Amino acid sequence: MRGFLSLDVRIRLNSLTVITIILLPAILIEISNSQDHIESTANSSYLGIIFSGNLTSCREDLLVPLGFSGPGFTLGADYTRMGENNDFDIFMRFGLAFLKNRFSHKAYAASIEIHPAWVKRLSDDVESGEFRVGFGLPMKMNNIFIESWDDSHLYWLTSYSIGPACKWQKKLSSKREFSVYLEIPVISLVSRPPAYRHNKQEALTHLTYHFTEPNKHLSLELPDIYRAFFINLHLRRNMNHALLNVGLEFNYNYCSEPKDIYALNTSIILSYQWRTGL
Amino acid sequence: MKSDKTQIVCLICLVLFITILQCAPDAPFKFNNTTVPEQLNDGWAVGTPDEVDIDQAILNQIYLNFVSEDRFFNAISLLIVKNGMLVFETYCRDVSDRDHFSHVQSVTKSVTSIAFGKALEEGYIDSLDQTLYSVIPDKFPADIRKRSITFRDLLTMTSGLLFDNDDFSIEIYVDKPADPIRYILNKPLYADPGEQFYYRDCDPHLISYSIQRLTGMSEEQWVKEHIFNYLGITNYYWDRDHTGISMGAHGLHLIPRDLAKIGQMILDHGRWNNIQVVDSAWVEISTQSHIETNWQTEPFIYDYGYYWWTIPRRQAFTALGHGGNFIFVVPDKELVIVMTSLPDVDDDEVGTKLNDFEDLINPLLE
Repeated sequence: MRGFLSLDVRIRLNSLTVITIILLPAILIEISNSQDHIESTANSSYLGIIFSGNLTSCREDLLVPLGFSGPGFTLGADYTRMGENNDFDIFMRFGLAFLKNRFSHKAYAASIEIHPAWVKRLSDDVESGEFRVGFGLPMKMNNIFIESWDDSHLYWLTSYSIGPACKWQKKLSSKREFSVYLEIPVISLVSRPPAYRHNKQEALTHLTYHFTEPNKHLSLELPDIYRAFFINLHLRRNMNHALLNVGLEFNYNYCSEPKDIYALNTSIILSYQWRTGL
Repeated sequence: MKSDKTQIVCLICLVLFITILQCAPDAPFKFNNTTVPEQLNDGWAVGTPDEVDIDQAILNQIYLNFVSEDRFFNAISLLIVKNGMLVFETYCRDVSDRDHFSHVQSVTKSVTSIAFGKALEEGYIDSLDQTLYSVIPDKFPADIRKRSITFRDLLTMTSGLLFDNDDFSIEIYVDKPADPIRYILNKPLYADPGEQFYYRDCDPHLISYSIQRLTGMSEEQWVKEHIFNYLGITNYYWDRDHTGISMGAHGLHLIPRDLAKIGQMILDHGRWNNIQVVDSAWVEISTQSHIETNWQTEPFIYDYGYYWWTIPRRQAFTALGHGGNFIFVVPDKELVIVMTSLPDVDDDEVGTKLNDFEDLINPLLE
């Protein structure tokens, strides 16, 4: 089979295989578990940790319109407050990904995301599930170091957005719940590198540079320039004093200025949250 | 409940399917474009290959190799000048690159050589054996061995100052020492001055600063006034360190046609438009081999002049900038070939090395 597939396709398939191997058993175990009666999650708060395995893909046309893709991971923390009618969730994640293009040229992606969201219950039906709407405030820094093509400068897509969100959730049993969350930013503060850089060398050896530079030159953009969406599907298991979440997430980011950039992530998310009094 | 599970599994399968499609698609990064130069009012005479006895088939072969996406990944432009006429000009990434300057990296060193020659011609410098210490004694540390560094040592990369180029970029651009010249001269010696070739950016930076001290102008101003103005070069950028010293090693951003003008002026012994811009004696001496480099692998043997790489087996010399930026001059064939490329690449994976470039243009050289 290897002989018939180009390297980048193989990388993508390998990443997919990894994702599938991790995800499917978790889902099957979760779905097949027996039901027990346990406490409701309503009016409770949970604080926990998140880990995800990602397939990351990006294309930075400021440098070269070649797609780079490869595996990565994120680590972070998650806080959820569930009310009778309102849910609040905020997570913070830091991620790294190791990318290659079809010529095996190397690149690295690092991301930081702080993502609060509020959703309010609109309808609750045992058969059709519960539907909630609200809004999200995703704040994301996607830094890309395309070492083979530019070992002196950093590339990035930073966005601070607000947009509508909706969530459909359905109880599968007294302790299991499935939900789908969709969010589309509509107004964003976006930062991108300048179209041409005169300096030979940026301060890549200074850690602070990787946080400060991608936050300069922020401009207000609408979806004609910056487009993104975020989908999260997850299964939640209530373990009385904790929640175990297994999710699939798809994150798409695109900006057309000063040239196109695509930054995409598909992730398998595992999070474990403890009930807190916060 | 069973149907719920089926729906969920279907949803997950759908997302997995989306995953397959989600990779950012490649787009072409090189494009076919014309190779016929346009007559502009920029000082260039354009011609056809026939007029200068170049076989169009040879140019076609070079062009096909140049625009291939499997080689010369980061190439921007290729220009060929024969007998003083621009006969081939192509831009494989974007046609607008003809009018946009790009960073030509260490091609700057060859311009610094020309700037030095002009300062020598104008009498600001006594001779190549004048010591740097005689010009900037206030910047020297106590180590008296360094006081013997001459301009000849600086021009042949033999000053002995141990300052690797990667470190130079980080320390001078990023760390920004209060006095970059004093900082450079405080570096230890890897050998006595004049002894051993070691390609570094610090030596041309010292030349740039010397020009500034001796002429009262930055190297950029000096070159603008004494060279670029005569060549009609106006669309450029010259980077400086944080104290305002022109980066003599790699600060220039130029458009490809202007690089070709520099090459043609050197080919014509320092003349452009019948004006002697630089002393012909300096042009001759600076483009001759003066020292062996560490690039001595047969058949690719490259020596070094005064900030020009020399190729003895071809009787040629070239300005060479990281990534694949060249002003390649073959006096016997009245030939100047310019290539520009994205400048900050990893040369082993993406960039065009001098031997690869020679391979590209070889049909023209035989």
